[in-house]
Amino acid sequence: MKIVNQLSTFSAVILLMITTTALAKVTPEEAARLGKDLTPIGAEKSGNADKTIPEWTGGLKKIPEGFKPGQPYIDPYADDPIMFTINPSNMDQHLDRLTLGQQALLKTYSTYTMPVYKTHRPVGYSDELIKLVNKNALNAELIPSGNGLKNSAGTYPFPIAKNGLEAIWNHVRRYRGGSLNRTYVHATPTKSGQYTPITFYEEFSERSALKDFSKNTDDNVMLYFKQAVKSPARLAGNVLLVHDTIDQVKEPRRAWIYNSGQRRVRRAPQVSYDSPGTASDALITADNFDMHNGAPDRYDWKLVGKKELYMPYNSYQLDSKSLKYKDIITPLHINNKYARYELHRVFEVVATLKQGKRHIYQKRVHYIDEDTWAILASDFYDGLGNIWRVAEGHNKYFYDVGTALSTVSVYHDLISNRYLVTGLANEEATKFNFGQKFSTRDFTPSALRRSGKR
Amino acid sequence: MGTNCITRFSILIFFFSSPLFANTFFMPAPYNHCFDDPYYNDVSPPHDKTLAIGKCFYQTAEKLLLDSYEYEQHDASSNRTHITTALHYADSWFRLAVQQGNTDAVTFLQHTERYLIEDEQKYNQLHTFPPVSEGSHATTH
Repeated sequence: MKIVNQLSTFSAVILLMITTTALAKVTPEEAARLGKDLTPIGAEKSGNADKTIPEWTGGLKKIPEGFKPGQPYIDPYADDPIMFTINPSNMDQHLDRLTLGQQALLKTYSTYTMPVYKTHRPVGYSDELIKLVNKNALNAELIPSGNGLKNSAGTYPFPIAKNGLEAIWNHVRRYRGGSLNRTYVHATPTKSGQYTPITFYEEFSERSALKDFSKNTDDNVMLYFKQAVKSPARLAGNVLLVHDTIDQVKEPRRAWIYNSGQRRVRRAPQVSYDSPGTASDALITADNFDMHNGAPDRYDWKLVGKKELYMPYNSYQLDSKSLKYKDIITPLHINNKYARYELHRVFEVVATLKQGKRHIYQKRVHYIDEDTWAILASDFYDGLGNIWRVAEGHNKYFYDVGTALSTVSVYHDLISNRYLVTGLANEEATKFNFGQKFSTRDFTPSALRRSGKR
Repeated sequence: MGTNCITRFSILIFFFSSPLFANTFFMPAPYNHCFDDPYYNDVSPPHDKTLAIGKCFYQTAEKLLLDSYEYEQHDASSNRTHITTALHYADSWFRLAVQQGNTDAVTFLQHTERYLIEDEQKYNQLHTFPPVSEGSHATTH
């Protein structure tokens, strides 16, 4: 009897071990590295060998004096001098620290520059977030197709990403502060620099941040998003509503458009993959928004490895209220005098179009920040194998909320020599308002009509 | 008074008919109708439908190319963006149609690629440096 009991216990332990192995994304030993030699979300805690990337010591220690929530962010690194500026004539000295897309920009535009500053790692993580990520490390899994997640407790499902798909899911499911509204401007200057600013107002909420959040309602939805055009007058009143689903192959993204001219709400299945972005003058695709969004199913994703590259980072100056749009929006590219580049460790992820699938980008290469899992730079290749478009997300750490987001994103088209810049708010009263309490009612098709009133 | 009105009206007519107006005030993309094809969002459309969508973009690009000659004296970069983008959409659909075994798509794909290469060559002439292609550069690391 004793032997039978022992056998049963032994079998139960074995079964538990097998089950745990099947469910766990990383072993408990690997997960235990989080918060030790790895940061809570899986970055290397230590600096690099030549000390040009510092150790992560918990992020920005103190919010700059004088900052008040809701007011413009004070640049904590305003006193840093430019260490050097990369330009077309000296770029050869820095090739090993530049993406191919950045090299292409420097080769294409004789006026393109990249001011490089000292590296800072300001991003910190709340205890609540750390708990979720620890849970994810042991439990979150990709569904077999790779197009969705299971057992994921929200943000950063794979802090120790083992492949390209897990890395891209970390970008898609990164922490964005829960919910927010924001007003910003985007522009698509012609080659000679002519542009009309387009003003957008957006509302965004993670499903779990809704005030009427229910665990079992809409459980395949990860976020709700509403975008209204406020100006110019001829576009004003058009509104886009998106319920972004987790498994978009099982249940495609739900999207609706309110057309103010027709006063009609229509389904918009085209707001996905490579259809043109809103008012983008054909310079970006729908899945370019936020550097990358949507289902990963059309590509094979490969995690190439980590690199130390000059990335747009801590871009407080680009957001300064002392600047006007005309100071930033210049012919061919933005005025990089106001940009800030730092050396950071990034994951290089290459997505190659699958056989039998279609997209205007045959290949896309993303550079994902180790401290935020946000894509900071991307190269997009056309069917002929040439770099066609290059994107950069100039991020900023919102220290009162504990999230880093692209504050200004720039998408370059190297063939037509044009670019789209989005996220500018220098001349707006406010930009990001975090902590908005939305309900599901704010993201219904009937809410679109209300939002569309000019 | 009457002369003033006529002058102002003429200025307005000139402004609204100029390519600058088209560039600055966002005309809808000239190939938007191609996205309305019921098969556009289909995961694997029949090969003849795939070819048809490719042709829609291709024909729009051809029309835009003809129109573009009229704008050569102006900043026609918006038009140029649309031509290139329409060709890339066409290219992606013809590639898929070829993979699906549509033999007619082969010729269309060749023509599109020729257009795209010419487009990029035109771009090369405008710049000191050639565009970066995957094979033409040493890897960064």
